[in-house]
Amino acid sequence: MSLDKVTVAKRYSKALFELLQSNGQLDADYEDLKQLRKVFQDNPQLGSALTDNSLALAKREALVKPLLDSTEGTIHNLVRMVYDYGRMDAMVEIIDQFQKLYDEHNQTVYADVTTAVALDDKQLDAIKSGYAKRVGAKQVVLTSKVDTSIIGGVIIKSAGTIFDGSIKTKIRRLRQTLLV
Amino acid sequence: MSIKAEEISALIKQQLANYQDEISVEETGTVTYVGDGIARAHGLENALAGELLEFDSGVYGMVQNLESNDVGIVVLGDFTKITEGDTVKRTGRIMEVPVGDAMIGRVVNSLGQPVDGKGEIKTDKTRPIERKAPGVMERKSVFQPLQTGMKAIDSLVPIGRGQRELIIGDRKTGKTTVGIDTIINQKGQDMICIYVAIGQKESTVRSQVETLRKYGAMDYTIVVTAGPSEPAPLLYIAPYAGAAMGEEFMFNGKHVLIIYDDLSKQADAYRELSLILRRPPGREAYPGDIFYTHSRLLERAAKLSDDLGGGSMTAMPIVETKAGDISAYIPTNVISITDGQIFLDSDSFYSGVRPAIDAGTSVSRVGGDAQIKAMKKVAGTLRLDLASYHELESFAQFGSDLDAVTQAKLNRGARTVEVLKQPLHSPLPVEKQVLILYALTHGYLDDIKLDDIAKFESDLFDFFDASHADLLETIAKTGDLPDNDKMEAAVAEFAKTFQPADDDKSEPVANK
Repeated sequence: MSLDKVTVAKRYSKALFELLQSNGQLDADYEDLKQLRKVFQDNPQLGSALTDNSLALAKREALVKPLLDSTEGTIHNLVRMVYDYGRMDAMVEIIDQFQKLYDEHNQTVYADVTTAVALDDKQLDAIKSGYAKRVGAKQVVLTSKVDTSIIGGVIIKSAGTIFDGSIKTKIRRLRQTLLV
Repeated sequence: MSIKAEEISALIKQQLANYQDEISVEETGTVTYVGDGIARAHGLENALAGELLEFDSGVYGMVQNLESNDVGIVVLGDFTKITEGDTVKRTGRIMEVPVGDAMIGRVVNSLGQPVDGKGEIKTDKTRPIERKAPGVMERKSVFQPLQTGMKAIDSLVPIGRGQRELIIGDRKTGKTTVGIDTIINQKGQDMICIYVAIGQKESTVRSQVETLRKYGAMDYTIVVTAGPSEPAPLLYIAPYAGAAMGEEFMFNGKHVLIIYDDLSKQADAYRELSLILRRPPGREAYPGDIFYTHSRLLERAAKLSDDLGGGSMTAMPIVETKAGDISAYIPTNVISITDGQIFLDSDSFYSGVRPAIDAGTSVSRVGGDAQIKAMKKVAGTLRLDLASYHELESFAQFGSDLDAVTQAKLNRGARTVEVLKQPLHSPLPVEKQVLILYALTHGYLDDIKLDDIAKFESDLFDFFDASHADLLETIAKTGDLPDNDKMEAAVAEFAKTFQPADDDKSEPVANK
């Protein structure tokens, strides 16, 4: 049974992370990796084109060349190796998994904040520091969103957990209590 | 009707006082695959095996597989409304069904929701569908009889309360009928019956329920049904749900009879969802834990110790064989789990021996201890009689001259087979079973024509009901035979007066 992309990505990213960490290049190469991911995300067919046999070998080589030329050091080697092993279609997942490890290392947490009205910077900072304290992270990166249907309060979504303090949910729960 | 505003607001105030304002924290995952009654989800990193999950559409699911990257979920309901990318929430609960007295007389699905259109079931008690079976010290040996009302079963393969007795046979051999008749006979026996229909046609279930209702058996029966059009997970959990309902009564000191009709279909449903969950297939493509699926279910049948109230749950699983092959995978598994089996034979069914119980292959490993003394006395030689009859029967077909002993054996055997026949839905109380078997083993039937045996039986019962009701009562009360002389005299008195059916009067009585 062939391995699924996530399993593959976990293996590559772990190796990459440990290598970069021992070389002390984590922060510098993380930026490069983000750029690399952007290339693959902007060209969704690139990954599969470099993996399967729909293109002739020469053409594939030509496609992968600019990627190799524009990278150096460990990232260059990564692209070379992933290409050689025919895992280019998992590149985005590899970098995603790498980011997870990187965030864990830096204790960074990403969260989506939904509110009924737009928040100012002061309020966002308050949520940031409050949330950071709650989950024990050093840094919180928020993406805020406005949704008037929640009436009031805040919903924070982060890493498979929802902290729901919206008026909409409270009303729904109140209704359930009264109906029982 | 006048609305009293104060009362209502007081009630609401009280409920609002209990309402706690807190932020709800939920763990979620994202559905990545859905189909054929199962779903896979990323995330849900802390989900537990067997935990209940809620999908966006309000449908519930149960965690079955915990894998390195995702979670395999069986969907308990309509999976067509779930789409890729939906969020799925942990509930922190495990699967439970409503239980209690309010369930009695109702027809429910595997989730305990009513499907008989008689409105809501008002019960606030629930039980988890999976529960570890009672352990060694919580049990007691089986000693009370469970009367099925069928002569062939109560005499040859007696069942005790708390036993697990398998009913096995080909299709159309009367397996369900044995179950239904047993339920009908529990009237007034202080039993609660649960009939779990797994993958049975909705129309069949409907007619079974009607039969039970007609004989007044729905007053103490719960029917759990998972029809063939339900998704496989519901068929899979149906017997566990039924067992949970039964346990509630058992742990309250009551006696429960539960019939799983049938476990081969449950095994098929489990095979289906296991294959879709990509578990490795084993023999006959069943998953590796198919034995455990059935053993943990049947182990929940028990006779509880007196400290726990002495309740019992008797399980009668039904398994269908193909062309009489009891050495197929599921039949051998369930045979090895249960305390005996009632084997129904299609050949004897079609030759008119109904219930078509095969005395040779049917056994009850513990029920003998539960048989009443009177029955033990009259039925002691029955199995041997039948065995030697079947052996001689084929030999006698050569038509050579037979000595008197062989003739007598053949004669007795044919009458035994005839006596053990019984019509549909007409269970007999144990004292009457003892009576007719007494007449048989004491040779009163040897001179009666085979065709007249049914008449002899019913006339005998009428005669005893009218003139010797005290003898029947003694058997029922003490469980032992009354004074031998009295019994002998009463049966002999009847045998003298017995008139065969009219059209046979001119013929000699003993027609050999």
